[in-house]
Amino acid sequence: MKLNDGLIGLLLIAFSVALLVHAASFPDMPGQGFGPSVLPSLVAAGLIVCSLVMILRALRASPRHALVEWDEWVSDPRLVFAFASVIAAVAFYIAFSEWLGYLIAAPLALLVVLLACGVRLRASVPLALLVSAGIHYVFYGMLKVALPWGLLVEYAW
Amino acid sequence: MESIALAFSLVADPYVLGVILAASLFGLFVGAIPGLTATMATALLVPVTFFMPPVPAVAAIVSCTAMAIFSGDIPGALLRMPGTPASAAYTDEAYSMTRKGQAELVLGAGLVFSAIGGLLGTLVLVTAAPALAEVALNFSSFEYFWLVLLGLTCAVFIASDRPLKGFVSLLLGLLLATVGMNNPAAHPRFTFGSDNLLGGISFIPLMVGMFAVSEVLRFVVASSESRLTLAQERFGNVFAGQWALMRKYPLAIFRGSAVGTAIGALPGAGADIAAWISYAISKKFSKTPEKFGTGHIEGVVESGAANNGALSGAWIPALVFGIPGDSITAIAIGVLYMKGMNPGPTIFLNNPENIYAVFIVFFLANLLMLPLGLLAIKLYKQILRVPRRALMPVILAFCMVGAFAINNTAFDIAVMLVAGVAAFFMERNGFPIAPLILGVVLGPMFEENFATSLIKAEGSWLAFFERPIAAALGLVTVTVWLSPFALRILRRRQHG
Repeated sequence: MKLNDGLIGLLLIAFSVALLVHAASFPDMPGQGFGPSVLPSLVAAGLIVCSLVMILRALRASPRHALVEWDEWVSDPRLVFAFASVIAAVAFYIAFSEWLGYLIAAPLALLVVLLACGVRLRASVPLALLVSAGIHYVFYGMLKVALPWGLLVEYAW
Repeated sequence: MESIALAFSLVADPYVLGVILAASLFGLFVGAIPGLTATMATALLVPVTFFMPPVPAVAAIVSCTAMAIFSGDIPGALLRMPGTPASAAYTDEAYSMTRKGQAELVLGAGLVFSAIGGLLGTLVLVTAAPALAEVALNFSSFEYFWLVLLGLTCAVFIASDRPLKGFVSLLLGLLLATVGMNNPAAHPRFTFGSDNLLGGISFIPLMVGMFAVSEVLRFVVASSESRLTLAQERFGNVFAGQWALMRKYPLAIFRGSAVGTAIGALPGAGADIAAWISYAISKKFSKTPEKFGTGHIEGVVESGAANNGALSGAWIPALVFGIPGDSITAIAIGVLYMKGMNPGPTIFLNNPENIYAVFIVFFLANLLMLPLGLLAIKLYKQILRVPRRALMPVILAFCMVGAFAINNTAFDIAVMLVAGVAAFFMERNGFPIAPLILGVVLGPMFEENFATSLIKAEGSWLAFFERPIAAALGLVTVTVWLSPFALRILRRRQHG
């Protein structure tokens, strides 16, 4: 998805104004005439200047670019589904890994991503299990990262 | 002297040597696969290095990236697809040579002159960094303020072909750096009541998202995996003829390494830009510029040396000032801070043995490149057999656990996911990622030195120019800012 630069500029200006308003509520450092609001305000000012230039250039461009240019993949339902399922798989892991435990949540998430990338189910299932176990071995076993056990806590080692 | 001996013993540790070997093989593999970059290799490596002592952690990054930048040449020559962006400048040239039956010569040249460029760049690093550090010891917040500002400026003007969008990226990076309580007044900014954000946005998950997850997303929507057909599968002696090349193009090799190192040392400009510029320079000064583009080795020799020289050069400002020379050293600086090896001139005073050990690793990695690189060329057909559609999901799984591992919180995986999706859309809309990363790394340093200087200056802006080095740095910075306007006026005069 490619947005017109002018549109991006407008969005950035709206964002910068909100930023300026919010930053104005930061307290100054004691005894100084400035504080934590300086950098965010400078950033907002910079963004507004850049956005104005972007809008100006977009208006002058000929031929004008469409407001939104959709990429080829957006018209292929299979690819849109694949894109969405990769994001959903990671979101699923974020939401449920604590409760389900790594050893349940990770293979499930990985399976979805493998299928989304076009690996056949027959190969995906063993691959998801093996890779998840391998990563568990490296991070939990060797690097001592506290990957969650969740439902499997009774079997924790 | 004592610390040099200590440094050798640090590197000679079997554990460190093992890490170097493993990271090298990993780097060769990642670089050799089109679509996976050296920066991505670093981002994937960092969650693992997090659990290592400082010397092996930095050694892993140094050896992995050196190998990845070389092995990016292999698919360039055999598939006409650069393995990493740093090889893009001469991919067509290298592929034309393969088509002419000179695959061995061009692959060997990539290998040998990558190693030479890396070694010469390291020599500059080893001599320049301590000398610069001596000078930098006297720096006050004013000098650092200008230095950081100059670094940020370079990132926008030199490192990106679209300065305006690069500037927007940079500003967004600076803004991301302001999240949390890490500011002069310890006021919680943009935390929206979340405890997870009080300490700021974790750098490593952000990095992993921007450089690895975005790449996975790009792969998922790339309609179908094209079948990759190698232009040549078996290779003879790739070292044959390299000595003759060295005698034929000594100046080009030297120039490529020097230009590469210098460009690498500029903040924000890394190996890919070094290769493009060196290729152009090589063509300009060549006795036979008309042969460029038809399968001529000269440009490959010069820019192949340049991109590896740039890797070493990027560490000069990173170690001495804490200002990254490219996105790889930006990640490395994050690692240095986590390991308590805070970059800055005092790093040469406080733990010199660690720094010398890093230097030794640089030499070692570039020498190790010769045998391991040869192996990668010989086994390339097998490397390419690994199906990318299975590899990408595995990388994603690794990213999730890696992002989690830094703080043991699922919140960081969310940071990674959002960063990945954001980077995916930013790239599609022409906003470069490197300036954003630089903004995140330099944001806190910029704010701290700005605040300190403002307090010291007591409201007088002249104070920013009172110390001689600060004044010079300030002048250069302002000149770079004004240069686009000056150029435009000049052009108009010429036309008018």
